[in-house]
Amino acid sequence: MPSDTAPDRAPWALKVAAAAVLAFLHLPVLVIFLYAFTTDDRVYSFPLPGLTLHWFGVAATRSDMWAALRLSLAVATVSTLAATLLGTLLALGMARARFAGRDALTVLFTLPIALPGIITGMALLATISLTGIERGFVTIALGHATFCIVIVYNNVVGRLRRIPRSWTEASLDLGASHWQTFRHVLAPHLASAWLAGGMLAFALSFDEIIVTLFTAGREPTLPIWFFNELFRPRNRPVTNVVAVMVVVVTLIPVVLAAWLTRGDEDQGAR
Amino acid sequence: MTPAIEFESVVRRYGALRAVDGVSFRVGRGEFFALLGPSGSGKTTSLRLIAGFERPDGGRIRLDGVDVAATPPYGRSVNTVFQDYALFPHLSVLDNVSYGLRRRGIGAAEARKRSLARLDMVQLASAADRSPTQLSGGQRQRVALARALVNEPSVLLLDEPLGALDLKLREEMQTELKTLQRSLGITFVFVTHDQGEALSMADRVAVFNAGRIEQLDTPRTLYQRPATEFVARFVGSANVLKGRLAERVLGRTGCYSLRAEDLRLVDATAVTRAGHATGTVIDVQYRGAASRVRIDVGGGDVLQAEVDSGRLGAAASIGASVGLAWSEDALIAVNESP
Repeated sequence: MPSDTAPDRAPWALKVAAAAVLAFLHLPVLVIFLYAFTTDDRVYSFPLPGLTLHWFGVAATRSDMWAALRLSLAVATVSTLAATLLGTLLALGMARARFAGRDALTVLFTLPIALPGIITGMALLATISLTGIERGFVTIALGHATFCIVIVYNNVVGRLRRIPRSWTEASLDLGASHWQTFRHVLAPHLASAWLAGGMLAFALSFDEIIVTLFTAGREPTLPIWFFNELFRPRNRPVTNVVAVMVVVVTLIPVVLAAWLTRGDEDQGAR
Repeated sequence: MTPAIEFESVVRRYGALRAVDGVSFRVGRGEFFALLGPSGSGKTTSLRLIAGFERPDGGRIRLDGVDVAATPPYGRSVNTVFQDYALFPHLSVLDNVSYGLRRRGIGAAEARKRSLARLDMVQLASAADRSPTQLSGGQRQRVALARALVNEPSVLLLDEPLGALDLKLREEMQTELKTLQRSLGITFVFVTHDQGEALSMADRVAVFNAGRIEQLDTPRTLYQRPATEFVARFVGSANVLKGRLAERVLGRTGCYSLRAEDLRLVDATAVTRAGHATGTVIDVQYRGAASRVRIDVGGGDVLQAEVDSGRLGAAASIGASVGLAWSEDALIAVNESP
């Protein structure tokens, strides 16, 4: 068969290049996976002196790790929910609005994520000190929400702008209130935007460290726990074990989201 | 009797633009009323003011005698068939139709019964469980119609209802809408830029231009006695003779409408009476029974004559010299439009 009838067959050079890029992206992660099973607890030596599941047992008994994980999950959940609510309200207000300074306002929403984390962190710390709120769960979650809002906002506002205005008008025309219109006409079309924005916001909050260093109290979030652990080489494989578990747990929503939104592109072509 | 709709000096501005600029009219109950005009003339904005999607900046709007300035769309006994139909793609055809009933708290079983009855009226009961995305343009239009009428509004608004349909379907729907309107006895207000559509369907037509109503009359009057130059051109596609042209061809000043079908082609040498014109054929458009002939009468002016295609003859070939004749009562004095 002539080669031009098989366009999906890539030349070998391209395959090698693709493999090299994938390796570049993912080999460092594989290193962590590998050293989660090493018998050597001090240094990264290759080849591994031996393989063991010992560190999984050790990790499971580390109550400080569990506390950090619980805090991180709680912070990510609360900041994602807050960002979804506020980001959606913002998008509803901005999607069709036309007023002077609209673009400037949009830049203001984007600022918390565009600014270096260190600036956001310093600003939040200064504000928290002024208000006298004790640093901890609430301050971390609020800090994360500031930059998660824009993630949800961008997803939702993009979707809203693709929904014809006539749908909203038709709903109002047929006797539905504004809330009913939101609930029955807009929400079904925003679901996947919420999912995509919410997941991204959750992921962003879950591994945030710079802003968190400024807003956290004595209780560390998981990224801070990792950071502290790295200065204690005796437990190095334990951090690798926790990292492996985080990767595995993170993959679940990613795969789930991809599966839930798999029909989106076809439906988008209206 | 209280009119179904009453506009009193209504103004709607967009920034500096007066989209609707002091419009007044009344629509009687059970009337089939058309808002006709080119795009940007204010006809669609007027429709949106009736529906409640826009609020007037001045004047009064009354529905059944009640001022609706502060009434939101969901508080008005008015339903709309949108230009793009605006069917909800995430709901089935049946759920689209029962949407209004359900939101107003009517039970599922009752809403289903009434919706199926309306779908049956537009011959689409069999498509109840399908998605609107699976329907053809004509079918979507019928669903939109059923969805609006199931709420038993006192006024049905239609925004360019036939614009997206092909010619054959459009003619069918014209007849169907007219029949439907008669049998339901509901007030229909429809927006169109197609003068043929407005003339054939409406009881009365408001002709819009630049945010104002140029003339509001029955189709027959609009066509036979246009009040302004704009109406003569837009509704009747008539020749307008004014200024230099009027003086030269008619031998008098003023602005006159002369419909294309009132112009007869005669032998150029037969034109002896003063006032009648001679010219050169520059274009012949064959349109079935009739043909439209464009004649250059000199001085850069072109007149159009609509001639029975059977009598066109060799005289009306491009480049031929022809004479034009008309009877005096075909000339209608109109107000010159700016």
